[in-house]
Amino acid sequence: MQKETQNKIQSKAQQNTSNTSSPKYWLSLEQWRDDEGFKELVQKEFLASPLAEDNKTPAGGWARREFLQLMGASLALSTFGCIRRPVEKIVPYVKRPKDIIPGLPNYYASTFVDGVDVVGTVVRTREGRPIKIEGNEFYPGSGEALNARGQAQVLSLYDPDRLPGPVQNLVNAKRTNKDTISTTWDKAIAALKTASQSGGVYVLSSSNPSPTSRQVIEKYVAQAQGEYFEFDVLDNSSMKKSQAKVSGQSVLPTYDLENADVIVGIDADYLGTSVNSLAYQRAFAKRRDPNSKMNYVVQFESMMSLTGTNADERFAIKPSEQLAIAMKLTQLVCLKTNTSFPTPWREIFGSFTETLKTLTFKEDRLDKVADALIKAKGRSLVVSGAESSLSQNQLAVFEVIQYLNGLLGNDGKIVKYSAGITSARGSIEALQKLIGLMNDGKVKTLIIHNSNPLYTLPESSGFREALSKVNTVFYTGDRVDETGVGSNYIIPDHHPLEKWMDIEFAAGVLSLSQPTIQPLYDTQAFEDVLLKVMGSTQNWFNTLKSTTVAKIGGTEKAWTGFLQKGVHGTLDHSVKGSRSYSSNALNIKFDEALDFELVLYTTIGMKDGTLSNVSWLQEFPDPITKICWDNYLCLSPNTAQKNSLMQGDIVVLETSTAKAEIPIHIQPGLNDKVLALALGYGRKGAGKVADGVGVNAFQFAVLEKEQIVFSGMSAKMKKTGQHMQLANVQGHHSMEGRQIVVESTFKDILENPQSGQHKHKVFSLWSEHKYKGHKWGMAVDLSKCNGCGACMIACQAENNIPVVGKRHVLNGREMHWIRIDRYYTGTPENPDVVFQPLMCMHCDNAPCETVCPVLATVHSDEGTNDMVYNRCVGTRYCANNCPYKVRRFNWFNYSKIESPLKMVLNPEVTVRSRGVMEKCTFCVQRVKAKKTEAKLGDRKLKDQEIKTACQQTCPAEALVFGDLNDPSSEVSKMQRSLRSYGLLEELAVMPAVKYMTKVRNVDQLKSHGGDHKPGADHHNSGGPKDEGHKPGEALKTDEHGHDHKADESKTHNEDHSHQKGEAH
Amino acid sequence: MIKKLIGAVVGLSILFGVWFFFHLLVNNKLSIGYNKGYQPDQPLPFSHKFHSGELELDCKYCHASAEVSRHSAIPSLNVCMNCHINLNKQSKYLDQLKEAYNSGDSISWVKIHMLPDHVKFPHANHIKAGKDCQTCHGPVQNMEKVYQYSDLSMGWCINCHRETMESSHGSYLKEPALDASTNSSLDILNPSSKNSNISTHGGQSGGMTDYTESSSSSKDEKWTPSIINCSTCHY
Repeated sequence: MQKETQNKIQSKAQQNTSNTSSPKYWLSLEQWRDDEGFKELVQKEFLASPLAEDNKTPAGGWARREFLQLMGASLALSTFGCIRRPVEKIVPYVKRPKDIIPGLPNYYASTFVDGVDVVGTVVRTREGRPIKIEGNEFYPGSGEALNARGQAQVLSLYDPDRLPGPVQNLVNAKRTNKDTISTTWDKAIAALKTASQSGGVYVLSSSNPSPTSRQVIEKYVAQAQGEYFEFDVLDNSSMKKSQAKVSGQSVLPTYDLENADVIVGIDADYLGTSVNSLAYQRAFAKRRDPNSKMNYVVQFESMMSLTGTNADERFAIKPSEQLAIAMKLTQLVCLKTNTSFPTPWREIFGSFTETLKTLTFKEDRLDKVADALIKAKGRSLVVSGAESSLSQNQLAVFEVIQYLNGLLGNDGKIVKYSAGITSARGSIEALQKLIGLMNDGKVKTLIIHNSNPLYTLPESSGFREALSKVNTVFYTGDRVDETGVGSNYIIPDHHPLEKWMDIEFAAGVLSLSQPTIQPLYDTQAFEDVLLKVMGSTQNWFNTLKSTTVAKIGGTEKAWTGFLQKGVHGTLDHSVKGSRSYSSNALNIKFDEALDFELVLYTTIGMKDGTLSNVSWLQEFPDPITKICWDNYLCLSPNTAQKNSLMQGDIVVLETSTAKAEIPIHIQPGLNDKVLALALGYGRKGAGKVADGVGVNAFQFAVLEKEQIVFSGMSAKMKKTGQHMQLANVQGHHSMEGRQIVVESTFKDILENPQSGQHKHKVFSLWSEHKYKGHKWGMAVDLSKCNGCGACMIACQAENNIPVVGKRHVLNGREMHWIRIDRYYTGTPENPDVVFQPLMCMHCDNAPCETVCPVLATVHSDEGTNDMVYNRCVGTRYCANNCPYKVRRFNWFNYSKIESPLKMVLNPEVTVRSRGVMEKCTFCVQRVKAKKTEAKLGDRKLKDQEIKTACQQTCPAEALVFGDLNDPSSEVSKMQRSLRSYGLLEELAVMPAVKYMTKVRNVDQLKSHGGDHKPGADHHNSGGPKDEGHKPGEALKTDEHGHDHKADESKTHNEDHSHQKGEAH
Repeated sequence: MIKKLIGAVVGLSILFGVWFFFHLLVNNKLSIGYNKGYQPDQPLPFSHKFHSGELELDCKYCHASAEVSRHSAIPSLNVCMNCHINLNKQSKYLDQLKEAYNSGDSISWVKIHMLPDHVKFPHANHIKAGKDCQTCHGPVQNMEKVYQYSDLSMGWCINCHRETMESSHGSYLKEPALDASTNSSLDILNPSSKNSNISTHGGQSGGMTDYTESSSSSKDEKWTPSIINCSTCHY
């Protein structure tokens, strides 16, 4: 059977060049290869039926029907029973804080520190509880944008697995035998005091972006005769070092993507997990609008990243080819601009002749890339720096890339070094020095702050051994996790939402993190602890305030202003001139005869695993693989075939330093020699959610003297014969080859804004709705959307959307109100990717409304499709009839969550219980709030005043919500654009959400073999023929896309009209 | 035969009973599940009759958030103390109040007006529209002990909105096409009005607000936006 399938794959692959039968867009490989199992799957409406569970009812248990009968009887009885409602109590404030008005939110400016990355945020609180985090519009670059992890941080505050207070581990000499007992702060501080007096106290933390915190720690270690070390496991120091070597300045530059015409990435992920990615996403999206001059984006990469999926040209490489490609590009640029290729590099470049011949693409494609770079001299960018670029030759790759940027005159123009990111402070040398000191017995006491080295450092680094030589270890983490287990005292620091912090992201950009809630547990700010140990009279807040006030102008008023705005200063782009670039001898090495090259990468949901106990993020499907609740070994379809592996088969992955059993995921667009594994999983002791999910990929990293290696490790893989199901949220959302995502090229769209679209003749049996007040609608620019998924978590936080867990996701019961569909086009070897955010379309002729037997889903006179939870009896007819499959059903009482997690619930949105259907409401609570505000203020609503949660957080500004009855509103303008189309508009459901064609800056789109070609005349199979229309020819339509010429005859039949109009 | 007759009579009377029960229910003669008239004992016998009736304190002096927020919150104890800190009247209840204030353990009042959790009622909009508190809460100024005056049922809400024009929207809707200030009738909102037709469009509408051609032809521009959508209160 398996062999058969493989043969099928092979024959499909052969066919593919002349592709006839494979769908143009495919959701999964099963669909691409026309798998029988997949066909069966798409026939099913729901992945799992409750009846199926009947069969599994244990003997003696209640069968479902029996249960329902009993339920009916008890319902009847209860109706005649007692009807007095339970007594509720109201406990008013004793002294109401003057800013808190019950029922109204308060907003506090804060900052989300995500490793080295820093983003300004605004925290919304209700009656003293933070319930949502949003981007701070004043923050330079990112504005109101916030990524998935930033949104999810609020849930980590209410994590029930946080320690309630300081604890002590009773350990034996080898640090193996442990018993955790609770202790008091007095005892812990006394212990630290004693340790400090005897000297040799060292502090290890990740990059500390707080200048005042650093001051306090430096002062403390000076007193305790120790040293302070900063290191980041997701390391940026090689990038800084390469800058120092090539230009003499050690700086982590920022990039001006808004002005970059050509961007060439070599394992870069500026849209995904790199530092400052939110600002980059925003700037990038501005240049993906075909109304502007579109940028041309090329990506060479070993794992499919968010950046790669958004590139115009993407090339699958392996890590060992990075340097060859960077050098070849440099050589081509030198050749074409009549400059000499750097002498010290000649020999190395010569050795790459073979490598360049074995690339998966023709070498002359590089020629085209070099031409584009030269054409855009001074406005182009070559960039690298994702974890997948951190091979053992990382420094050489970065050096060549920096040199190339200098050569192209991008330095100072696109590469902004005067606005260097100062929050990136960690270095591997610091860590190595500390390990050396620990091994020498110099470290008597180690304080580990904001870092989890026993999780993130591989065993081969020797950190664990070195730690056993330290007398006492203090850890400021908030749980007994990997490092917690290895520490003597855990002295939990406040959660970032409970703590004062001053944060410097780049020189001159200061932001503030302020407490938004009283500490939930018995925690203390780490800096406060140090100040107490030092016997200081100042507390942490006073210290922070006095140093900060001095920086921002010295007055109390400046401080108040800073508190309100949350950010001070802006990125300094003043230095325009470029530095002189020089080439140095490169120090490179290559392993011989690699079986596979392992690539460790970070995902946008998990990154380094700090927030892995946040269930929202575990259930957040990875934007590319669409799998949640696991990490997995990605490999190419060819590799899978060669090794007879199917999706979910467990393999043993082995490198020279580590070994683990991992399920595989077949990922199109990978180099056949690459195996890729996501970091951030496999936590131990992180909590109920994260523990046991996935494997720890950090163990495969290699800590070297001056760098940490995440990619290019030689790896072997062996099949175990075991299998595991991966929770993929997408395989079951098939759209069966209809016009779902419209794509076009920049060239074509300039000639004809409707190119790529296929307009359908639509007519409706229903008379139209009249919307006399507002008519809410949304426009989604697919050209801007990069698929990052921030909207999903924003929606989850705003609308109290429950998490269901892996088992239910496998049954297709995930609850996200907005999802992002990802389709592949082209071949599995090198596909293009399109993303499509999908939420309730709020159809004018909503198919769900006509089938609800209890009027639980009804149309409002503002165009929204309302869901009345208390009327819903759970027939699920509406979900059956929804062509977009956006309705979600509460199969169980998911909303029953433990304390204190429920404190995160938004009181403006009803919590749904079991048996109730739910879906996107267009954030009706936000609409209501702004309408009330306008009414109370005696004014009209302004356009863009109401922003839905997804729109507000979208880094690409791809989603726009507004009033379609206001012709000057942003959304009206976008929906009037010829580029806009309705999803499945042939069904005449008249969605209030319109999409805009995805535009690529390429000569030709990949694979036009789909069955829904623009202009294809496929309306004729059934009923009377309608007039065929040419590609791109617009039918005469009104503003709702209604066709007035449409044939009203009832025999009119469209070959894929699936909506059977319910006659009333 | 007799048995059959008795059976029929019993059956019919049961049927009639059921019909009568629903008849009363539908016609608002009988209400079940609503707490109309609910008058629980409070931990302190605070007299609205005295404070609001005799002293003529404005309702919004204590229930200040009603003007700006969804909730008309129970006043925090410091509001009581604004006056009582200066009043020397001796009473064991005032001692209790002062003790609660000083100790920081607030008073647990018994909630009288209980809307289900899936209903969102905004006080601020109603105050802004010029509604008196008494319209819904009854003659509180005469109540020694507060009770629930209205049944707070959905039908009660909707009836009022059918009879009452939204007239005080201020300039929120002052656009030429939808000027609410010139509009003083509510016949469009009233399904029984001759001006409204039953909708024939595909979707099901919230029920109260099906506009058809005739509604605009009846009195040009005398349209007012409905506030009776399901999502007005349920979201």
